[in-house]
Amino acid sequence: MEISIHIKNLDLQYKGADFKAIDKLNLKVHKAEVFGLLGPNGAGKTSLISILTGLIKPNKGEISIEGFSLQKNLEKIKTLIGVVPQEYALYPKLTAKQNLMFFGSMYGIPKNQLKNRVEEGLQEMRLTDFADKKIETFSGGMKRRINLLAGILHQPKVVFLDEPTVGVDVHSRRYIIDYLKKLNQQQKTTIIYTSHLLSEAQEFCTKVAIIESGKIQIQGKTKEILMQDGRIKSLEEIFIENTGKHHLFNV
Amino acid sequence: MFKIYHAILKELKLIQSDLLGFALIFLMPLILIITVTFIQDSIENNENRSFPILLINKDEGKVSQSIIKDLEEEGIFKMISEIEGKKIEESLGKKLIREGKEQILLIVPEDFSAYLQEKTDQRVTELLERVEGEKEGKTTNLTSENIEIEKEIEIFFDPALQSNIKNSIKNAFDKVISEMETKAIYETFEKEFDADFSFVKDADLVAFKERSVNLDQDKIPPNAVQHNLPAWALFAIFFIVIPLSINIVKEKNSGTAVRLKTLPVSSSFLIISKVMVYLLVCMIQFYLMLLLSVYIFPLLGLPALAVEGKLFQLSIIAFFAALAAIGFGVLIGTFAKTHEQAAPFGASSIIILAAIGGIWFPTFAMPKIMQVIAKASPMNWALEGFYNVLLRDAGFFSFAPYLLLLFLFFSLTLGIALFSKTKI
Repeated sequence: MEISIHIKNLDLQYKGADFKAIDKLNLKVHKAEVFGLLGPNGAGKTSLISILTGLIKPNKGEISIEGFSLQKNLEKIKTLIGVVPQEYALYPKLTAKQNLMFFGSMYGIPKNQLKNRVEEGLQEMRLTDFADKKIETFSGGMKRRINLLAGILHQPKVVFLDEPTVGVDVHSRRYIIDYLKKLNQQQKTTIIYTSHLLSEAQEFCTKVAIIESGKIQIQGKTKEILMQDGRIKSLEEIFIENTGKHHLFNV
Repeated sequence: MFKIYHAILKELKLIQSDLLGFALIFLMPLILIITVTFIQDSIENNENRSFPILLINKDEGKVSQSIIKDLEEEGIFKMISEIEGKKIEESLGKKLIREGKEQILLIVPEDFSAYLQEKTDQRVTELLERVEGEKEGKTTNLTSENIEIEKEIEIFFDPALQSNIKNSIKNAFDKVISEMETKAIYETFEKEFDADFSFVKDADLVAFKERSVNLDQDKIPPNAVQHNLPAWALFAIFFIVIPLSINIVKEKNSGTAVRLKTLPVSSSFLIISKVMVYLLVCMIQFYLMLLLSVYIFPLLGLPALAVEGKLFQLSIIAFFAALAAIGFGVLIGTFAKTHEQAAPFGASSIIILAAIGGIWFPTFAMPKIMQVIAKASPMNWALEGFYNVLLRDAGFFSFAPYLLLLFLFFSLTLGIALFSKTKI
């Protein structure tokens, strides 16, 4: 299988910090995989996504995305990736449609195509009736759905989702996950996903990696990871077994 | 093109979405310019302006009567000698001044007329003695120090009264009293020589007249609007710094910053789209102020702004001034971490730039060091440019250096912002 993301010996230590946020991390993500990056708070998930999306620079290491070196071809990579940040990355004073038209146009999507994609996206997310309403009037779940659409309108080859369903109701979560599944199956989009919702990750991800203290503790296909000691464990059990050292140390 | 169109559209929608803020951006400069012009125009024309002066005249002679009459004829003073039908007592007058209820109190001492006449007679007699003595080879020790002042007209001012107003009132008093003294001296000479000197005492020996250095002598002299519009238009243009810097800080601190940084467009692109939108806002502001000054001011009884043949030059200067203001706004927005930092810093820095730039006080009247500092204020460059066009009728080359300075200021501030790590 073709490699979508290849990370070699990645190191990151924030200025003034006593420990590394990312510690000699190596990772390969294949094309069309839904890859779950799991870990407790402060494990380094968001730092890793920030590096992969070009928001922060690592101290060391090499990264290639879709065959392009991140260090050398960041501008090219920006056209190939979609980012759905944990925060609502939208303009609250603009309508849903205005937000989507703005972010879509920044990716250079031609006018008519963009219009169609916005309409289709809003329909998929059951938000057509709210297209002309300001984001500030939306519920958390509705904002999350628009937040997702804004990051994938340009049909990226790789999508980075940082906790895309945090704080949303069951319906919104379902719309989001179904839409992402469809995107992955129909467009063969590689998805990098972080979440604290392990049951959601278990259902959604084809591969997972559990990170703690900037290091990968365990990684593999979700099904294989769950099958341990001759029985199928839950991802939560695996998570607890592989994390928490840091917490114990602190105690 | 589609990208820049949407980037500009986004900025316009963001401005438009805050209706009150939008209204304030355009309305406040108009209100400002109307208010200031009204005040300044009435001051320049002395219309409806007369300083009330509490008068306690203890003298019953004709000299004090004459001084009071002359002061009233100056047209800027209104003498009040009675309150509620009663003559003002000295203690009450001082109390009213102390409490700030009245601003000026004038006390003419008892027998002031007689005193003045006596002193004048004495002076003239001594003068004549000296002239006679010098003819006979004698010397006299007549100097100004020999004349003892025993009676004074006292003036009391409200401590809150500004010194420039106090000075102009004192100057007016000086003028009236000096004329009165001269008249008294002439009258004593008339008595002494039994002659009529009225042909001398009423004539001015020196006259001055204000003339224009412009070639076209028929031009109407600059009015309050010609003076005010450039200054206050610039002040309003520079106030764009506040909404612009807040807009940038908000964007930086919101989740959108993360997405903006991952877009395949540069920070420069996003900032340039902001520059274009805010430049448009500044120019609309400027043209609204021009329209108001040309068409609405006459309806309000104010003089109209004369812009015939100058509109293009004025627009160019406003354009470059707006660029400088926007560059400054981008710089503040880039380095400020919160809008609580951006707003007060933006507002106070504009006031400082305006003060040192000669918006409120002419730079030539400032101390030397401030005059040098004023040369570093972009508001001063733009103001001089406006004055050159509007008041001095100068051509393009007279204000071209100011345009260059304004553009350099814009490039420098924008450049620093774009190279900063804290940019969008």
